[in-house]
Amino acid sequence: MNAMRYVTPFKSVVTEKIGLLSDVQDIIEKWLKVQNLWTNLVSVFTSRDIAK
Amino acid sequence: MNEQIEVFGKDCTKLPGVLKSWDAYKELKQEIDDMTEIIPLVWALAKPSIRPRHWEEIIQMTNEDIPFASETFNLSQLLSVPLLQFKDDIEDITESADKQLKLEKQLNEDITLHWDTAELEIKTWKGVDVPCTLGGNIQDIQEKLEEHVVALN
Repeated sequence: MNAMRYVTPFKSVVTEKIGLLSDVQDIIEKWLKVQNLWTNLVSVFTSRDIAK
Repeated sequence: MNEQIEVFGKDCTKLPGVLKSWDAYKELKQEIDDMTEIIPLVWALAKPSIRPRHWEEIIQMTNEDIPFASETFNLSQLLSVPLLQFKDDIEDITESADKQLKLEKQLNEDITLHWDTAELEIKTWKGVDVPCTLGGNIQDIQEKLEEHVVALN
């Protein structure tokens, strides 16, 4: 869309939206990465043996 | 309006041959021919795809005062602008306007509206007392994000 000639009146909206959606993509990706690590490891670190 | 001008055009060619050398005939014929070209321009300018920015462009191009935003803006005011002189440019503007409208709809309805109403599910996790994990529809969200970023680029 952003490469089309007819985008001119909406160029700033389109550019802003690309930035916004890309940021959300990155955040979700990072969140899921942390979430997976944490949910896998939390039991290890909270189990009594290791906590001692 | 289209039909009316066609009728005028036909009536005009049916006039007796001797009249055709008269100036009055030539003037009439010219006026009808011009009108035949002007009417499609007027139709194109009346479309909902024509926004104030397009009128501004035409005003600047023609150097005419067109009261497009006025409630009393009427056909005779538009016809007083020498539209035919700028035929190609006006056609270019109106064709672009149609394509811009299509793009604007895609942007507003397919993309913006989708995210305005999209919901992010954050779920609880075992011993944690606040919701903290993404789940449920997160894959759908990621797919849509990817799809829309591609469409926007």
